[in-house]
This record gives sequence, C-alpha cells and structure tokens, in this order.
Amino acid sequence: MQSALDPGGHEAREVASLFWVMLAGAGLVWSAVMGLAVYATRIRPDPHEEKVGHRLILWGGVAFPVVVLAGLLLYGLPLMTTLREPGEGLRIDVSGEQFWFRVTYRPKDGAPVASANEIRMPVGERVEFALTAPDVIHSFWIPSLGGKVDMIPGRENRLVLKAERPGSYRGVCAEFCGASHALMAFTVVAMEKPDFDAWLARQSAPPIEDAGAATGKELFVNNGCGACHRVSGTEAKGEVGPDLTRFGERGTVGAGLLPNTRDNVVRFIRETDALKPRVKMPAYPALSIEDTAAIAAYLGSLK
Amino acid sequence: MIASTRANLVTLITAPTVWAVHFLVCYVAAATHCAKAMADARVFTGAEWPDITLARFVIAAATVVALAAIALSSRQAWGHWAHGDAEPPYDDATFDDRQQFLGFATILLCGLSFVGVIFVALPALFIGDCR
Ligand code: HEC
Ligand SMILES: [Cu+2]
Repeated sequence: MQSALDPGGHEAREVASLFWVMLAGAGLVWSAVMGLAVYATRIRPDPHEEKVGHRLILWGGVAFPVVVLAGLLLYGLPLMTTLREPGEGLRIDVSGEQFWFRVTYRPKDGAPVASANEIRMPVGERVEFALTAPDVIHSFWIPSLGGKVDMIPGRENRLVLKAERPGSYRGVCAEFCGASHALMAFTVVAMEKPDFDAWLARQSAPPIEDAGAATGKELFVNNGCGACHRVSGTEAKGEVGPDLTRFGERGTVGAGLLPNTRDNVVRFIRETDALKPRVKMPAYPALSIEDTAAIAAYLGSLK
Repeated sequence: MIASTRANLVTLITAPTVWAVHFLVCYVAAATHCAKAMADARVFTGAEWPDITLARFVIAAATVVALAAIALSSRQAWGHWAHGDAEPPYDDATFDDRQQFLGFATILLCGLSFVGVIFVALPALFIGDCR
C-alpha cells in the first residue's frame, strides 16, 4: 500500500525502474571490485608489473567511472522532463499543517471543494498538486505514485502525479515537523475517471442530513467545534482544523492515526493530545462518553 | 590560469576554480532567470512554463569558456611536467621534482574538472523550461 517499489502511477514507475537499473549497475561494480579483491589477496597475491598497475588505474580508476557516471547521467536526466509534464486540468491544493493535510480541489470549471486528510484523484490523468505550508516545513510523499516534494512556508511547490491503477495508497509527511510528525499521513484514493467526476460533482452539495444524528449535530454546534471545523451547509464554518463536511467518507480519523470507527472518533475527541502529542485541537475529556458517541455518530453520518 | 612559466599552487587550483565558478554561473543563471519568469507568469494549470532559452545560452557560453580555460591550464601544466623522463613519485626535495609534481597533479585536476564542467552543464541539454 505504501511502497516506492510497488508503483501505482507513472512517476513512481519511472523512479522504480531507475532504482532497479542503478541497483543492477551498483551490483555489477560491487561484484567486480570484490572479484578484484579476491584475485589480489587469494589468487595472485604477489606483486604485478608496474605497467599493469598503471593500466589498471587508468582504465579501472579513470575511464570506467567516467563512462559509467556519464551513462547514468544521460539515462537519468531525460527522466526529469518526462516526470514533469504539466497537469491535465484538475489541480489539488494541499497544505501541510501540524499535523494534518488541508486539501482543496480546484477543478478547471467549477467551484473549489474543501476536504482534508484524504485525496481522491482520477486514474489516467495527470493531476497537478500545489503544495504549501503555513507553519513549518512538511513534505508531501505518496511513495506508490511518485517522489516527494517539500511543502515550504511562503512557497508554492508543484508536483504532477498520474495514477495508473485504481486503488488506495498511503501518503505521508516526509519531513520532520514536530512531535506528531510520525502521525501525519493521508490516504489517496485513485478512482476511475467517471466515478471521480461523479464524486467531485457531488461534493459541491452539502452532505445529506441524517435525522437520527440530530442530537450529535446539536452537541457538535453547542460545544464550539464549529469554531475550528467546517461542515458545509451548517453554521460550523471554522477554518482552523480539517473540514469535516464528508468526514464519514474518510477511512481514518486524525490524519491517518486510527481507522475511522465510532469508538476511535470518541477516543480522538476525548483524548486528542494523548493520542497525538502537541495536536492543535483541545481534548474534550469533560464530554460524556454518550455525548461524544452522539457527536461521532453525527460526524460518521456526514457523507 | 595566470600564465606562469613555473608551476605553483595557483596554477594547481586553476582548473577546480574554473569548475566551481562555472557551477555558480550555471546555477545563478537558471535560478534568477526562472525566479523572474515565474513571478511574471504565475503560471499554473494549462499555462505554458516559461522557457529557459536565455539561461541555456548563458550556460552554453560559460561551458565553452570554462572548457577552454581548463584546456589552456592543462597545456601549461603539460609544459611544467613533461620534460625529462622521470616517473612519479616526484618526491625529492629538488626544484625539478616540485615542478613535475605540481605539473602532473595539475593535469589530473584538469581532467577531473573538465569532466565536472561537462556533467554540470548536461542538465541544460535536456531541460528546456522552468519546471
Ligand atoms: C481549536 C480548534 C479546534 C476545536 C475547538 C476543535 N477541533 Fe477538532 N481538530 C482541530 C485540529 C487542528 C485538528 C487536526 C488535528 C490533527 O490531526 O493534527 C482536528 C481534528 C479533528 C478530527 C479529525 C479529522 C480528520 O480528518 O481526521 C475530528 C473528528 C475532530 N477534530 C472533531 C472535533 C470535535 C467533535 C470538536 C468539538 C467537540 C472539535 N474537533 C473541536 C481543531 C479543533
Ligand atoms: Cu511532518
């Protein structure tokens, strides 16, 4: 699910083949050097003629590395151009924040769609990511889809990725950013293009209200969660924390921290900082388990 | 560089210095060119990336100059080294040995710098815009 050697996209495939070629080359050089060492210590330990030594230095020490390095360079450099072709229309802004990912879809035509900690993208299309960070340096890495790119305060870095195989991939923050850096991950769902288009079209509408979750909604509002969280179509309009409009669709809670089950959401709300050190959300241990479960049910119903 | 009838520490480090300066010129040329072009264009989806033709010309010119300078330096070093038929190591405390040592070491450094300059310039051959 998260391996650069199990590519699910164009960029990762190119990088993986580059790795294998390099590995094979390194293996050959290593074997040759080891072979020489064995030859020089076991097979013919006595000194060679000086001319032979000179020739070995000239060919083995100068010519060979120059040719090998030039070959690798000439093989690797053209990759940089193919890896960086422009996107094909969809742009996704991702902002790395301690310790989660803010996601905004910007389709070519249509209003932006806010989300967090999960990225959906169409298969077979080059998608352009605009990467930023408001606080400290983070890094955006989906090993199965491509190389990593840093998210740097004050800069907008770009990355173009093309998923080739539908499925679910794991992405991570790949630059130490604080106490919960290791608990800062996200899920990438690569979907067939028509499915993705339908999904994105649905996002502009507010989530369907689940009548059974009314208590939870009331508790969510009354406890001030809306000061930091947005749920489209409600009075919760906070921008500090992750958008929860379609939280029920997400596979995890807390930026890849735990599977998104009701129990885990309850735990996350009541013991936030115990689960995620230095998290920017206050824990709510004073909320009763029943109330928290009602909130969790409400959040889980948002689809 | 400094034409000198004798080998000394300055002639020794000429080629690596040229290599370092060439690297700096290439880097700064591409970086400033793209920083300006991107600020002007604010390109994104669909838009073209600003090309770096100008920077590529600068890099090409710098490369020709650098390679020529290194070639000159090595020719001069050849003169310091290739007289007599002494073989390395040149480790006697004599004027001749010092000259031959410096000359020979300079030639080796020239070779390294020559290859280094080419490797530094190669990306400009493949990359044509600011991506
Ligand atoms: C001070 C602002 C703030 C308040 C108030 C707040 N949160 Fe949060 N919340 C955050 C931040 C920041 C995160 C991201 C934490 C992380 O993963 O690093 C978050 C994350 C979450 C998540 C996980 C989202 C995801 O995508 O995984 C849930 C669920 C959540 N909050 C629910 C609540 C509930 C319920 C309340 C009210 C009882 C609440 N929050 C109040 C700031 C806040
Ligand atoms: Cu991090």
